Amino acid sequence: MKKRIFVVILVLVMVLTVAFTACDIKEPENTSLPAYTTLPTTTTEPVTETATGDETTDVGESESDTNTDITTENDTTISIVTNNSNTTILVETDAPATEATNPPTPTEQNLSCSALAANIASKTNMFEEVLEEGNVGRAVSLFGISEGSYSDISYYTASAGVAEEILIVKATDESQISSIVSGMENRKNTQIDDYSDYVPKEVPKLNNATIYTDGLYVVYCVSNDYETASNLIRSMF
Amino acid sequence: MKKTISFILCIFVLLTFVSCGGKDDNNNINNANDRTNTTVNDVTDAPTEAQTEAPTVDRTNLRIAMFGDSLVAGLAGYGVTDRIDLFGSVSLSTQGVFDTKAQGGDIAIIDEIAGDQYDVIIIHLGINEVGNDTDSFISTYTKVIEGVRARAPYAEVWIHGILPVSQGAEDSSQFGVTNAGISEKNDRLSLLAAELGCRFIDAGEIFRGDDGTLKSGVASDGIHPNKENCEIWANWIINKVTA
Repeated sequence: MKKRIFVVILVLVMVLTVAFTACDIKEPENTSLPAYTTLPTTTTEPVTETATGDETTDVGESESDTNTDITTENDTTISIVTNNSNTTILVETDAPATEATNPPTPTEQNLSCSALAANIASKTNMFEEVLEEGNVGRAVSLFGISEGSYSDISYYTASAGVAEEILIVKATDESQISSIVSGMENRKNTQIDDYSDYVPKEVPKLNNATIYTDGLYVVYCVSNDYETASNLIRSMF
Repeated sequence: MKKTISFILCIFVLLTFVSCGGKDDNNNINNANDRTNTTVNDVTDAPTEAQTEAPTVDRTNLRIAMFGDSLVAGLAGYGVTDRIDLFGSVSLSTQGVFDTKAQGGDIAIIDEIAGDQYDVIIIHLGINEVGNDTDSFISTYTKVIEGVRARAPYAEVWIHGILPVSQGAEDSSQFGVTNAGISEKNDRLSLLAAELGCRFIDAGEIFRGDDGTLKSGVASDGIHPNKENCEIWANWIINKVTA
């Protein structure tokens, strides 16, 4: 009898143990690959150099290396550098502070990048497709623009069927301009590589991309009408 | 007596294994073998007290990624959604995913989705290979799926069909892009998805006209949707995934 009672108690203890004991099955730990990091900022030599000379060159048509300075009435120097079918325009204001015209210093410019970009995009005759406002975060990544280097930015893009796009950046200070310009050059070159096989007819547009600076503003524009786009951009500042 | 105690001990061991094995599937919402919309309680063994209380997965908060060709790049560029992480590259093919970077990226596009970042990974490839041999295309596509599974074993893998193109784009294509070819490859992709336990979706169901071509107004070039239709497309994808 005692043995039977013992067996019954033993069974009850086992059943209760099974019912209340937690079996901890840990899920395998997933080791994540290193997180994707943002693009490093590349700094290269300034895209253009201001050179002396009175030669005039038709913008966008020269196929050799030429540096041209054009000095305007208010002593603003427009440097046009053509290098391997790429033309870059830099504007430098050399007028002293005592000049009667007193042109605005870069810090006094307060143009909205969004308004500037919208203005360019609205000129639909310059583009093959309608450009619409794009993802600024994506643009920062595409152009390798570092956080903190800009105080205002606007991006317009079309479908991936064309390489047309507009990026306007207002740098936080002059020291950031060269890196922003470098980012734009890199973007242009990457697009040339991609579209050479994908949609070759877009390559001439990219070769004639406008990269323009005025004060703290840097403009990148790939259009279907380089001359009209360049004139428009110059007139906006 | 000894036999009785031995028998009781065997029953005890058996019950111990049964109760431990039944708690394995409770939190595995990303089971690689489960490709349909199921709840968490996908248990084949005797349920324990903990399993019956496990919650149903809320698909509205699933982390979604999509990688692919220029159409995905277009989605990304327009910024029409922040609900899907998009990785696209123009001219991307099934062979290129292992070494081509996404636009703005720094690593191979297939590595962008690696790890445990995403619950759903959607692949959109094929528009650049419509003119290629279908068997070869499916073969390399299979390797892409295997590559995704190797990098993100707990994510659902979805195949997105190739979008149709306009008649004009078909007529002017120098690479053999035709809507008939697109349909053929989509049919094979659908079979591949079923074979490999993936979901197959095709936004052609909203963009394809009665004549089998891309509806007018969707894409200026007849291939790449404009911003308005990219937004429609993105929302359609999100609704499909979260349904």
